[in-house]
Amino acid sequence: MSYNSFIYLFGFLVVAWLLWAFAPQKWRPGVLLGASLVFYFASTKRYIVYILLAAAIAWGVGLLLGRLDALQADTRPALPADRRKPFKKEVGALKKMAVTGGVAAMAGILLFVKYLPFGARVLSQLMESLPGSPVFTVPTLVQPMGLSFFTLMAISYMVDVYRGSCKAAERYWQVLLFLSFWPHVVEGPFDRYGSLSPALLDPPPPSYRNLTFGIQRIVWGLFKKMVIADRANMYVKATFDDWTQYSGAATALGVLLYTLQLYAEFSGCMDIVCGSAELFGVHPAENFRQPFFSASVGEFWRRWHITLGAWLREYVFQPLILSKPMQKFARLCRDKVSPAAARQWPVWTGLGITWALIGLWHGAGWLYLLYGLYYFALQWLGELAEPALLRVLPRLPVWRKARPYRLWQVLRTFVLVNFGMLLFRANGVWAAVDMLRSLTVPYTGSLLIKLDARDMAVLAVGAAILFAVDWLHHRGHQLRAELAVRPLVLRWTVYIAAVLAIMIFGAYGDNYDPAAFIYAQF
Amino acid sequence: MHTIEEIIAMIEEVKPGLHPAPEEELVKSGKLDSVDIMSLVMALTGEFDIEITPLDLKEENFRTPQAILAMVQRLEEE
Repeated sequence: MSYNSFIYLFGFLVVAWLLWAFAPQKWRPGVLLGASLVFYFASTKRYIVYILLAAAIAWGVGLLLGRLDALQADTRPALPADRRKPFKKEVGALKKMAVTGGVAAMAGILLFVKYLPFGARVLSQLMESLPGSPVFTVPTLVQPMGLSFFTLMAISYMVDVYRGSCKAAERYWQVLLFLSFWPHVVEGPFDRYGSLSPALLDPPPPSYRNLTFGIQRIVWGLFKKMVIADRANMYVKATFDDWTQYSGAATALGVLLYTLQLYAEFSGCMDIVCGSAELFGVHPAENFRQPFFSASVGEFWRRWHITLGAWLREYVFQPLILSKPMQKFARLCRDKVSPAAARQWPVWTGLGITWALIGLWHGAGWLYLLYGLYYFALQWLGELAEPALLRVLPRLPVWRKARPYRLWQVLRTFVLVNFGMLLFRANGVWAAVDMLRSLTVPYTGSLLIKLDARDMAVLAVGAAILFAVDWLHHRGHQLRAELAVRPLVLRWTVYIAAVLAIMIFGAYGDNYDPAAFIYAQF
Repeated sequence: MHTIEEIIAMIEEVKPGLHPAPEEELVKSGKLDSVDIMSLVMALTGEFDIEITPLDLKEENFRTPQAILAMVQRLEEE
């Protein structure tokens, strides 16, 4: 059931909201769980077993950790002073064992289902080069919807309980509701149990504000998806799938439109799911904060797919740097090289591993790995160049806080991100290399590929509206709140105009090929 | 007992060009990002022989040079 489908918007969402709104308060979490399971089952059928299992593991580990904490709190004060420290250590070791087992089980399921075919393919290719080696078939496994999302959320739940940053859920259904909550199970955002569960388990009563703000956000998301992303998809599909037919301006426009498509689609999906959750008084974490106003690649990734970056920073990058092997590596660098190397090399090693994982999280393939490492290389080179820039810039007539310099940084980041998008969308490593090469070859054909002049005009106006709304948010405006206090006529003119724009300019019907949500496949 | 000057010198090494005052905000303002903070953590653990765990990596512990000093002193006492 796609988030922009008629059945979701006018069937599922309406029925779920009516049941939720008219149910007694204590039944409302049950309605949310029922709706989430119906949504998930309708999309995945028997593969629902994966999420039921993930919730069971996370709940069981969380419960065990909670019981160990309680045991420590109750028993330790009554112990003789000399026994307290060893007891704390013993309980700590048991907790560590429990969380390690839980994380390993969850990561194991993800690795097995998502990455086993890739690993087997690599192994098979390596073995083929050896004389007389056996050839084996690569297994293919069906990946259940949202596996990469609910697995990471289950891991964060267990680690948060272990660290004491959230309380363990007493009931299985509470964890199951958190993991399967339909607005975030397909494409995220990666929510944390501690911040989402209060609203899920004790939702606020239905309110006019939540209802209207939720609907507005859903409409805005649909505008981005159906007017901009699905229209751009036509051009993008042609230039990326038949890349050998195009070059120069046609390829460059294809890359630019893919960047627009991915942003409009992914952020539009987030608007639809956050708006859906808002109808029920739940506010998932935000995944985008006007990323194209970033002055550096690092800043871009703090504003683009925010919750994935935050998850990897908190549960991979930081623990990796603080791990014993990395501390040993730091000591080795200090003894053999310099204190500066001890400070930097382990961090850059951890960052390289994290970027590789960001790439591979998107899919099991060399191109995704290359995509992650491309951003690592940019960030690393940026850091290496910074001291030299600090020496050179004061001698140049450049004021780093001036608006033109900031604009230059934003444009530079935008161009670098577009190269990343080319890698992300290309049909393989060699196709990406070909496309990069073809950018320098002039294109003499028409730029109206699969789209006519009217489509191009709609795309340009849609992109301008998207840019303007982002700019206003970037300047601190709260557009929905500001619109809510405007006169009735103005408000309804805007609402009706938005709905009409989707109906008239939405890319659907016989001439279009609406794309499935891109991030749903990850 | 460590001093605020030592902490500021360490921040200046990690982030060339940054010369923060003791109460200057470092995290929300974007003066230190997550990579800088981890480089600073490596410097603190190496120079001061303290153990910093993921639980200590909270924004409030790195908000200002003074907050970093307070964290170092707390970890030394533990």
